[in-house]
Amino acid sequence: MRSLTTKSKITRRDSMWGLFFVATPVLSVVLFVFLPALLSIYISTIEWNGFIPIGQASFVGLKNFAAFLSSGGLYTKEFLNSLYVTLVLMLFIPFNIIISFLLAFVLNRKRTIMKNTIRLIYFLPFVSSAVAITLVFKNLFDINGVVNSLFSLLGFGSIDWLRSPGLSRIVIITMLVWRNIGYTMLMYLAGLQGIPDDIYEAATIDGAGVWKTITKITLPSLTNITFFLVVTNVITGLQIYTESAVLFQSSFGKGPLNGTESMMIFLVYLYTNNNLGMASAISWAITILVLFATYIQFVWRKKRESL
Amino acid sequence: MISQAPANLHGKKTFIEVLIFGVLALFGFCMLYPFLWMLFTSLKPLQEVYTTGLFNHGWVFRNYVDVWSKVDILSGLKASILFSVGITVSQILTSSMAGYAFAKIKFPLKNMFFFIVLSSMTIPYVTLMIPQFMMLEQFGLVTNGPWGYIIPRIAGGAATIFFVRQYCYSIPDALIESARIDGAGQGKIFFRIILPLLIPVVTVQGLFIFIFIWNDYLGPSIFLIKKEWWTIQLFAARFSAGQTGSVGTANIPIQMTVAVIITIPLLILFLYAQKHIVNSLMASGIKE
Repeated sequence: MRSLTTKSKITRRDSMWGLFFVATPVLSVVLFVFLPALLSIYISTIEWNGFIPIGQASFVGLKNFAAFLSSGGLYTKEFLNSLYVTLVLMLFIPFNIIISFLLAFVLNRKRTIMKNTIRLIYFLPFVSSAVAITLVFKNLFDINGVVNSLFSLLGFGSIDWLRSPGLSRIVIITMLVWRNIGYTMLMYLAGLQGIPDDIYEAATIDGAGVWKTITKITLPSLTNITFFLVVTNVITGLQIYTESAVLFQSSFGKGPLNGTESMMIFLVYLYTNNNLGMASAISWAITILVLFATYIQFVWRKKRESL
Repeated sequence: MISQAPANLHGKKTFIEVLIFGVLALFGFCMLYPFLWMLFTSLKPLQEVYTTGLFNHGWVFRNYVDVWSKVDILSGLKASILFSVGITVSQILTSSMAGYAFAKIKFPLKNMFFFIVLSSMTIPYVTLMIPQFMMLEQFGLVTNGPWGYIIPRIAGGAATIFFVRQYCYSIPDALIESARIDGAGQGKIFFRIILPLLIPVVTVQGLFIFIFIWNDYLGPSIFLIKKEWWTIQLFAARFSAGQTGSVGTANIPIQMTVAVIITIPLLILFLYAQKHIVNSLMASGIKE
């Protein structure tokens, strides 16, 4: 059958169909990714409030970048704070990774009771709406909320979680861990199922204990998954927005003493204040960090493939 | 529950299993608690929010009636359903067409186009949203309606296209060739033969897109300016915004009613398709 058709020749009708089929995504990428990216570079070099035509905005070169990167710049303090807040919020990553691994390890055991139901329950938060859940957590961590009731049962006093910058960040970290455990656990379960049983059997015959089996066999075979999870978590972590924004709507997500002002919150704040040049410059700071994380992942993959 | 464990286990082993189960169940309860709190609070009268425990003295469905008059929930639901369903269908269709073409049709500059599509993955949305807004606003597409939000989301994303393309490679060429010999054009082949084959793959991808668009907050908060086009997420967040500060005055049961209404469609969808979702995620995990 194959010999009947013109296998290697590109026919005109096929070309038309092919181009037609890929047209929407390709045009969309050019119009809504490439063009905005270029425009964004330009906007980051002008002083623009969005009300005057972009051509009339004055060109300021790297002034916007200097305003948050140079020492003593107008926004340097706020940017460094937002960078610090973002990094602190990213502490959800180690908690997420460790708890998820432990859960996956236990759920992967053959004997564990009701493991499918438990797995399903742990996964539910991953599909929940961030807005709805933030509203719930806001009440759970309220001064009269259930977390404080639990603490007072244990003999602690009431804690005003949402009025302290540090404690507010703990609330957000808890929320992020709660949301992400299900997905991370599934990834680890998949990884654990990929480890052949006979390796474990061999280890048991050789007299390796549980601890030794975990550190010498299980963890090394999960290095790639862990790396992938850390990088993707870092990429999402750099762009944390909704949790802060909904938790502290009245202060545009900045929270008590700007304690939950992540880089994204800072960016959107500049944007809503029509400081578009600055907002674009900040967006490139975030983008470069994201690209760096992506690049590390890329290099890692290459290295792995060449092994 | 216990009957699932083999009967010949020693007492000590059974005890350990029960202990492990106890810890897992307790942790599971913590994972479920926010959902339970949301549901039970939505069924409480305002005064009872912090005075009673998780459960209430009497069931109050009043909040579900009141919510219609206090929040524009119908308008929000309409917008959310419209965007989520519309964008999901359109992204699935466009990425199926593109994925198929990239895998099975010969046309000029194919590799370059594929590279263009894939390269879009490297640039995060943060950079794009402001200039996208400016560009679309130039044509009056943001202030006058929902198009500023919809248009950049019509086409399927690189990940879905890549996924469909991989799947299309497993479709035998003979199937396509025999249809061509019968005189079918590429359009007919795609809609009659390929698309039905893709249904199981794109269903899962479609669910992810649906969940993402339904839960999206950043996009709508920037691109949906007119209140008539606010999604349910915007209504939920902004309705609660006027009520920060003293909790005593905030109408938390109504907030939670909105939260339940936002969450329920997703939970139903997820429970309905959980096996496919979990399997698909696990498969991607194995690849990593």
